Amino acid sequence: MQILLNSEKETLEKQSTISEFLLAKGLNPETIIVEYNGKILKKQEWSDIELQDQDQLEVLNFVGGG
Amino acid sequence: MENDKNRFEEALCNTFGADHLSKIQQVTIGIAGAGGLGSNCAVNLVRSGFQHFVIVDFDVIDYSNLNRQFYFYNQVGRPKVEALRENLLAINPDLHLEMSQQKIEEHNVDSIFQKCDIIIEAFDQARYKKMIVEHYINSDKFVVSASGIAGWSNSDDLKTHKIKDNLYIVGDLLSGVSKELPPCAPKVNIAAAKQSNIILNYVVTGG
Repeated sequence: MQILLNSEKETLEKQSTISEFLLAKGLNPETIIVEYNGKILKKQEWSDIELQDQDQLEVLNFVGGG
Repeated sequence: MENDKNRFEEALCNTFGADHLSKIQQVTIGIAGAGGLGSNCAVNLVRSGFQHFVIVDFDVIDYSNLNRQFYFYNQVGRPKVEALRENLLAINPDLHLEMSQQKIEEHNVDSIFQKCDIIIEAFDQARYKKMIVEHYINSDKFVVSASGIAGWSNSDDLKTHKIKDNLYIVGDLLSGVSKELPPCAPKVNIAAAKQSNIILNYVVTGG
């Protein structure tokens, strides 16, 4: 199965939820905004959604400093 | 309003022209955080003629802030919003400033910035940056954030990223603050100046 992560192709070995996928990518759930097929998802929704082939995921990660 | 410009505003009118200055003076800008980004954005925007601000920060000034924030040695220990009010009024004495010393959280962000047309994300911590950007990403407010501004290398990597029509992020998106990568005046100032310029351009040209 293949999805698009920030417009780059990404191959998934096994079925996974958005939560599982983000965790596997090493992303900190506290510092990211996730857009799934054009819609901003709340953090609570991440574990409810199984990624499907050709899904589009945009992840905006913030780092500290100001 | 048009007739009672102070002498700085008259000078600005000569620089910008009355039409541009009138647009600038109608906008209300919210600044979330009055640290390195927020205090320097405020200065840039006041110098650019903006008059109406809502500026919020819970913190007091520490000596460690003087390396990049728009405060002075004799202001250490005072609330940032109080000292910033004085410093901004020293540039233009006729500003309309709503300064508030409190912590911004998900539950109070809406009421704090309700009247603002534009919001500057000027927090230090990543999870607060995320919180406020996520809160306004689908709103009608214009939001300018910064992420990835630590250290001193490659200042040309501090780019303006247009994420959506109403959301811009300045920075390299990667360089978070750490022991090896402290926040320093030059890059923090560059980021704040770019955030301010995005707003000036947006207000003058309409996008």
